[in-house]
Amino acid sequence: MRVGKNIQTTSKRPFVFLAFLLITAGFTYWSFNTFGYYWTVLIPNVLLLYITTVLLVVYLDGFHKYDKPPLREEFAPVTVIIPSYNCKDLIGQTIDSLKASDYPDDIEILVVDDGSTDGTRDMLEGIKGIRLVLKDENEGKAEALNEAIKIASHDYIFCVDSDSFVSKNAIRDMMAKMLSDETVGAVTCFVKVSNNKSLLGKVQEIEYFVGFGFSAITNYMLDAVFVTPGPMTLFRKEALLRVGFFDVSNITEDLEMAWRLRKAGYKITYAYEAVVYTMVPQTLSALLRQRIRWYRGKLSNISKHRDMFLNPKYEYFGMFIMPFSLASELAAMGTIYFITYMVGYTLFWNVQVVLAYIHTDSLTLVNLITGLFGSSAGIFMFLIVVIPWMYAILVSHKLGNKDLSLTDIPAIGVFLFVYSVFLSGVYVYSLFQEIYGSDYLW
Amino acid sequence: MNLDIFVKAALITGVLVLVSIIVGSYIEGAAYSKLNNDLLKINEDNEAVLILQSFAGDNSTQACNMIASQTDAMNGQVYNLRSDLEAENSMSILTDYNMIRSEYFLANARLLSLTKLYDRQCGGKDNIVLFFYTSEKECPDCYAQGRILDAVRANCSNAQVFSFPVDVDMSVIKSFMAYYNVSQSPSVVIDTPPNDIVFSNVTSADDIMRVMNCTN
Repeated sequence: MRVGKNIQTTSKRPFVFLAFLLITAGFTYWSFNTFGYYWTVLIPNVLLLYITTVLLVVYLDGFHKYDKPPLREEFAPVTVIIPSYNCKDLIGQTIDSLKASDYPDDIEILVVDDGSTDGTRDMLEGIKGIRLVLKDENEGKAEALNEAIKIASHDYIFCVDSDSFVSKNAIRDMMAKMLSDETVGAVTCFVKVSNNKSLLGKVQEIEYFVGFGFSAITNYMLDAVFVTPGPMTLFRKEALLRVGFFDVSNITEDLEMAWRLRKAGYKITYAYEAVVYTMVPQTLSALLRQRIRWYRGKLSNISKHRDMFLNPKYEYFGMFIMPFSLASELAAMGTIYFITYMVGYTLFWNVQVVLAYIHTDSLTLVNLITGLFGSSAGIFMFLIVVIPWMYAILVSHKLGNKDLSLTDIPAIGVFLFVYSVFLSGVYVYSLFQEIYGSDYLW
Repeated sequence: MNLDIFVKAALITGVLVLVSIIVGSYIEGAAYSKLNNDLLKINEDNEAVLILQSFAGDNSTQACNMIASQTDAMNGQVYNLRSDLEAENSMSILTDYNMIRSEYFLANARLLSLTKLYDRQCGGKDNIVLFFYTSEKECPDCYAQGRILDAVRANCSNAQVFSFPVDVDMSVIKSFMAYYNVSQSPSVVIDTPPNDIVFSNVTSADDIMRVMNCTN
């Protein structure tokens, strides 16, 4: 676990947390009893359906306007910064993928080792054709990036994670987009999952396809790219200097940088033809830790940049994408409260029924099998939300040049009906941690 | 900002929600329609028993046998319909089941009266059991008692169980409760005049069957 020494800690707020918990739980209980649980949960579901439909309309209306990376003869030299920390098994492949790039101009590969202790430093010293900065102390990714930006030789800077592998055309396509418009501050790309053999890997692969395919292209069409992803983003050095480098106290510095670039008036564009493959967590605990960091980072950045929220100056970004992001969290909270209520209710009910059977010496297996809660009509009304999501999955795979087959159906099912609930739980847990003021973990 | 996309999305969302409500209503409507048909059949059978009783007029063996077979078959249908009706009522989100429930409990009360009348006229050996339960509020004990009575019916072929919710505002149910001196749920009444037996807590199948003259 990599905890940068600059990552901020927050003061604990147990009473605020308790008050929040009581108010939201009380409101949910009141709503369940007043409107019934179906309608209470259906309303946020309709909201999510609307948001997804807005993105679908944007995609269908605007895909033909997508600017492909222009063909050009002249490029410019670039610096690729790779912050590294205890990654000796992967960073060699990352560097090899960069060296295999078809980019016609000079590529400076600048690796900053952030105090690795696993032999990464020795391994890096043996690699030819890279510029190496060795730090004795681990100060975090943002600090490593900032130090490298200051000494980078060129005006265009790629930040690449040490566990990400760049496709051959990525640098060329992203630079073509950068060089075609002087107001562009950053160019993002299509991030795909590299380790997709396990079910968890496959499910995350679908998630990344939707996130960096459908969501990314619609955000781009709205001129509201939300994040400059850590696996690989191209920055204009001048823009980074102007906004004052990465925020070293931020746990999602890539998200925060995107928002600051936008504030400074820079455009962030997207090239789905450029692909970077990244490693994703393979255990639930590692995934949980990663997502808590992401979601808490988003929440703290919404708070930090609240002046952008519903601000017409930032157009779709401030008026739609930021509120949509927050609405997703609220919908997730509704889902989790609903599930908690139903599980709690079912347990409470079943325990009492079982006690009654025991009391009358009537406990049999048949009596134990109780009917599942649910309504066929109600379930159908929830399922309707799946239609636009299925379309989003199809579009994303088309953008990512991957054909869906029948063997993908189980992973898609898990993604839609299990993983989404898991993520809702993580959203809520992250929200609770943020309100309570738990320490940030990398 | 182009507001058209938000308007278009609202229209599409509206259509999707409308379609989901229409299909949802259709799904619930199909279940409602089936229950309604079952209830119509029970009402028809109730009328048939009434006609047979009037037609026979005395305790002729032939008339009593006809009525016995009719009421036995009906009791099973009525008992099973209650479970289906209560399950659909609790799961329904678009359909109002109050009307059909009232009709059902009236039919149930009518069948109870006919069964008692038959017993008096023909000297029937039925074990009439009344089950009073709570339907609107959570009542795990009522649920458990219902399942126990299922077991009683399975083990006791001459048990005729009539279930009534205590929280439905129907004068006939209130009258039954007053008649049998029932004030809480779940309660099980074994109708053995002149001294009816009332169990006012969850009661096991063995305890219930002990006070009945069961035939398997």
